[in-house]
Amino acid sequence: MIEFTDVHFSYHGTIRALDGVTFTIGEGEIVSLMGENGAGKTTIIRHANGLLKPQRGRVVVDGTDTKNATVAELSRKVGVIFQSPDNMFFLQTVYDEVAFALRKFGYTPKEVEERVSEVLRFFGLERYRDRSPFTLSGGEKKRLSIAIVAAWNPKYLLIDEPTVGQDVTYRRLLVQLLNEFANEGKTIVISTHDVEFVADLRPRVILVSRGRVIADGSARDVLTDEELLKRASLVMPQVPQLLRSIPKSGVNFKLLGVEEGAREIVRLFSRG
Amino acid sequence: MRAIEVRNLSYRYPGQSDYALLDLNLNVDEGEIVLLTGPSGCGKSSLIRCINGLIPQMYGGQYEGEVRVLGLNPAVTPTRVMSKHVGTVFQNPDNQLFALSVEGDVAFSLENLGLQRDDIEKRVREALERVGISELRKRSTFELSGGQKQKVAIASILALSPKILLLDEPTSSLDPLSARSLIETLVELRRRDELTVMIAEHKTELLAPIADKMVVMDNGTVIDEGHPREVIERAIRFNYAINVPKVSQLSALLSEYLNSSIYLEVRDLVDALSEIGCSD
Amino acid sequence: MSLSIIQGLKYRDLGTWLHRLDPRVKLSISIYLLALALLYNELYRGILVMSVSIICFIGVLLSTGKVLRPFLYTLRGGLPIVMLVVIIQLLSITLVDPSHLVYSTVAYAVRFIAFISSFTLFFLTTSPDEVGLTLQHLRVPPLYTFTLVMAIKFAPLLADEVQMIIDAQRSRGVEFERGNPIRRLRSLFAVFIPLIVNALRRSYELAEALEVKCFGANEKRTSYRTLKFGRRDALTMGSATVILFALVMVRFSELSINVL
Repeated sequence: MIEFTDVHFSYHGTIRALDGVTFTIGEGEIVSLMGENGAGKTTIIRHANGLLKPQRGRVVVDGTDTKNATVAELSRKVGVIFQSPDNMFFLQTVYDEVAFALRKFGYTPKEVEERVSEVLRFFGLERYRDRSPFTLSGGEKKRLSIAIVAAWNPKYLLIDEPTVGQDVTYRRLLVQLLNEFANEGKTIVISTHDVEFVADLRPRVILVSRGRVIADGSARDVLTDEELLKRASLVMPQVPQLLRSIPKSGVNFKLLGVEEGAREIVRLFSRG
Repeated sequence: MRAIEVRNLSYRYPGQSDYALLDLNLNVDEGEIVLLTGPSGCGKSSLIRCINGLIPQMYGGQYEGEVRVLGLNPAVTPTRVMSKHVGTVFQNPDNQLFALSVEGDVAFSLENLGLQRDDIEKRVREALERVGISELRKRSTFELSGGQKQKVAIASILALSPKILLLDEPTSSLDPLSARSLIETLVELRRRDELTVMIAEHKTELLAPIADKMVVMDNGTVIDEGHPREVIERAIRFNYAINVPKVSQLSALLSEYLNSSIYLEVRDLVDALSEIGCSD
Repeated sequence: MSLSIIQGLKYRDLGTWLHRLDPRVKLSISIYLLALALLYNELYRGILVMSVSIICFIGVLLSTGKVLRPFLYTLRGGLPIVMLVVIIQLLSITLVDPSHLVYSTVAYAVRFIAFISSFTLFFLTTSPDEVGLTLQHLRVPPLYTFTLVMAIKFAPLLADEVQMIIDAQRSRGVEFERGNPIRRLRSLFAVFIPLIVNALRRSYELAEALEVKCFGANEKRTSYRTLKFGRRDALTMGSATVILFALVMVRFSELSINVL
């Protein structure tokens, strides 16, 4: 469980980033932190593995207050992946990048070998095993950055802005990967302002605006609420936007998927 | 008249064995808004660099074929001459702003050309007005949001009064409302002035509705082009690796009701649905 | 953390009289103060009195310009260099004249702080653009001026980037504060390599943007903004010059020998 209780934080003592953030994320959940740039999403993620410590309030991960543990200790449980993969790579091969933390965390050479192979296979990166990470394409680098952290099997996986600048192939793959992680029982948290991606993933949504949580609910409820989205400076996904605009009574507009949207429209037709 | 003409263009970056562009052909008419899309690494950025002349002038490499931009050959025309005809806005606003104040940034290229102060003053004022950010004039670029910075970058390019504006993923680091506002600015610009705009982007839901032409690239070449509606229709049918707006996906699922028409905007699909009886 | 120092140095136009003062005046006063710090050489007491006065004067001056806090940050950032000065001084003076060991070391260290302080007046209250303009007025070639302005402009961005890299690396198990020296050195690679790779990419992007903005297209680069030397600037400059002159007179007159 990740528990944020009334967390306050300002950068350099002046720029207020979090202004009393409270939420709890339970085991096996998929959660999306949503809000515009500068709303506080990344600051929340930096608190989860102790990179930042709350100036007021508490962050507790699996019963451990982040104030009483080092980032390395917390990282065993809480894997954090930031937006730019290039900020991570510094070793000669893709293999070494994935093996780095495993060696650090005391895996035996045999375990390292097995686990790296398994992870590279899972992420479809086996053929780049001996290549330099810098030679990979944008989407492959993104995948590798997740693979590096997923390798030591953290219970919680937090990914900052996973879709920025990515093409549709990668976005589809990511939805699939995140769902597989969730099926393995991992807790997934992503931060994003990409409403269509969230409409596809359909996680629980925590809406952040100016350092405060302004809504916490299912994607279906939050992403179809015009008032809330406006306050968070987000745009409603196209399917509910369309359903809402149909000049007919009794339309169920709390639908995010293309198929269910189409079914609803067909239902309206058959109703006459 | 033709704004951009590309004939059998192939290009390899120095030291690379793979072609970044392969036998590419493309025509863009003056005054069009062109959406250039395709999977990452398909060659969008390379094509843009061939149009403004950074390829081959700055990058070198192996270059075959021919490009004509308003009658000029960007492969041999000095970039400072090209820049007065073709302006380029890049992805990351922080790496294309050089002064500290907004007006200083817009004036930067004009200062480089050695223009007189009165002329610079006039062009700075006009460029800021065209982009609709006159009120930011005295501000420091440090305190601007990403979207505002990107608008300053556009103004600083427009100050050179180019006829063609190229934008390479200009919204990729922006949040949804800023991205939308940036696109609206571009539409407004084109409405008021005779400007040809070419935008490389993944966000088709934002750009397909406003584009006159949509070009899909893959593996360094153009695989489809035409009116966005037709291209999106084929993208659904042949499953191109590009982003298809959800409205368009939805209209494809409702094809038996909609007479197989594909819509690009929520508003248009709503209108079509009401017309065929989906209203009270 | 050392990075907050660079953040503190990020120029902000606070619009105070100090920010509005002509940068040439500020540069001159900075140089005056530097000269004053060098006025006394053998007299340790003179060095000490003068340096402490300069530091206090700058402190008061900068607080009227609301930049006292960045000033203190700068001094803190300069401490390692001050320590170096102290060590060198200790080593050299022990060989020459051990009798004034403590006194002279303290004097030189404080004078060094005065050196650093004198230029904060110019850099903390002058925007990079104005720094560039000032240099241009002093006939420094545009390429050098531009390079310096870019360095000032990108320092805070780079500091942000270093922080993001450190965060990314700590999140994947790199520990900067633990282990033996070799281990620590290795973890520094985890910061330097991404930093260099990013810097290379950034330099390419900057080069492209400069190219399309016609940088270097014309040998006679014009400048849109000019520096205006107003009445207030003249008054400030005049009084600063008078005071400097007076202090120099005092130094070389009987008076100082009696006082100090």
